[in-house]
Amino acid sequence: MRKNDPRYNSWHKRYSLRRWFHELDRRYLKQRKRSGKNLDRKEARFVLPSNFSLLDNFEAVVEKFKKIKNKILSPDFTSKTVYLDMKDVTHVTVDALMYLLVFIKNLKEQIVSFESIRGNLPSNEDCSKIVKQSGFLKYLQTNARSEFSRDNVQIYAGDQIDGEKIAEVCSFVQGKFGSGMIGTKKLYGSLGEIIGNSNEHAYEGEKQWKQWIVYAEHVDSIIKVVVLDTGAGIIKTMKKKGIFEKIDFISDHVFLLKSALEGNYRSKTKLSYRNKGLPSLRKKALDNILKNLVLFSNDVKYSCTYENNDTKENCELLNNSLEGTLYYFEYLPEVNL
Amino acid sequence: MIIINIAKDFTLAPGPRHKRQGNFSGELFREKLLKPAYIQAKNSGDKIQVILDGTFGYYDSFLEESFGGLKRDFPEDDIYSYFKIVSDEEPEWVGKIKEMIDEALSKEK
Repeated sequence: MRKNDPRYNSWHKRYSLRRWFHELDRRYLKQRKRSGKNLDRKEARFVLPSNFSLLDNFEAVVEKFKKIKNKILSPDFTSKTVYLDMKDVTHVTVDALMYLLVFIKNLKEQIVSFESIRGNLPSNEDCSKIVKQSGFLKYLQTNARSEFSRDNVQIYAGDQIDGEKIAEVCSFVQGKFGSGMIGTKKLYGSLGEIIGNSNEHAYEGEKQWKQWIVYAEHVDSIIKVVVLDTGAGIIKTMKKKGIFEKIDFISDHVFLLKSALEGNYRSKTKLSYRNKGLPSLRKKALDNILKNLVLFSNDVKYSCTYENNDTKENCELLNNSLEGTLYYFEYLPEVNL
Repeated sequence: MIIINIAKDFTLAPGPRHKRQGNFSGELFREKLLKPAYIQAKNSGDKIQVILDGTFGYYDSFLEESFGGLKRDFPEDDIYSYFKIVSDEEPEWVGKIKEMIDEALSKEK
């Protein structure tokens, strides 16, 4: 329209205002991008604990995951994107990364309304290196460059008990120590029992990423092994399957786990040849074949340490509950056999 | 003598207890190799040598389902008398397999 049109002034005012708002938005978004803050105002940001380790900081890490999950599952949660902020993490261990991976996968399975789950690497260089070299990134869609190298780390996941994958872990260990197959036979048996327990856990009725993950790393002349499964956990499974005849102690989770490890409970099946896996693992820990065994299952922690030619067991109740079961142990193959 | 060398005749990576749990299970081993060998040995009066050496290792549950399962298939037989177990790499398995066979039918007290 012409400038002398009476409608021109009102149009021009509206057009200028609109341009001004767009300019504001553009400057705002640019500023947000520079500051590293959420681009998407519908993105929900969660800051992970600075000591990001289940082995060293179990309660805080699990509590955080619980809070995140509860927030996401609440009816008033409308964000389409979740952002997991690891910027301020100053200590990280692989067990927590594996749990995070399982957590992400389970969220995606359970909540289909998500568009994406995003995150960042720690600012701390050492922690960032651990994340990149752990193989954690290779299970996610990410632009971050993974520095995963099979030289010192092996990571496997599966949903069945795959002897060939476990054999690859053993071959990796053999390669590091020159031990031959004999040196890793106990490791093979142990991993098979652990994953076998995982395979038997009850997943029914729950949409979950049904996997086990094995992580093995050659560090300081020893192999550190972490196994995580995403099942119901030993305690929950025992209760669900009605393993116990006597239910008096069913609320005592420490008692339940101890019984499972010692193999001295009276089961409903009354088949004495079953349920030998956990006792077998415990025996290997007591014999110092699996060194420094730590087991988290649901809200119980079991540990077996070897000091001054003596093994020390401990079983304690935790304030928070892990979804699944996590095993950690160290292994030194038998050489020169 | 009937000889079964698990590493050569079955797998280098023995699996779990049941077929539904994964490949090369104890259940499969028993069905495909152990049970036919046992029936043959029983009919001919022969013995069976099972060589455990040469594999990556064993899960307790694999061996229990193999040998304990065989006992459950033939509960009246003294099946252990037909077997010679060779396990130079892990000698403890010889005694354990005998225990598994002895306990295969037992119920908890």
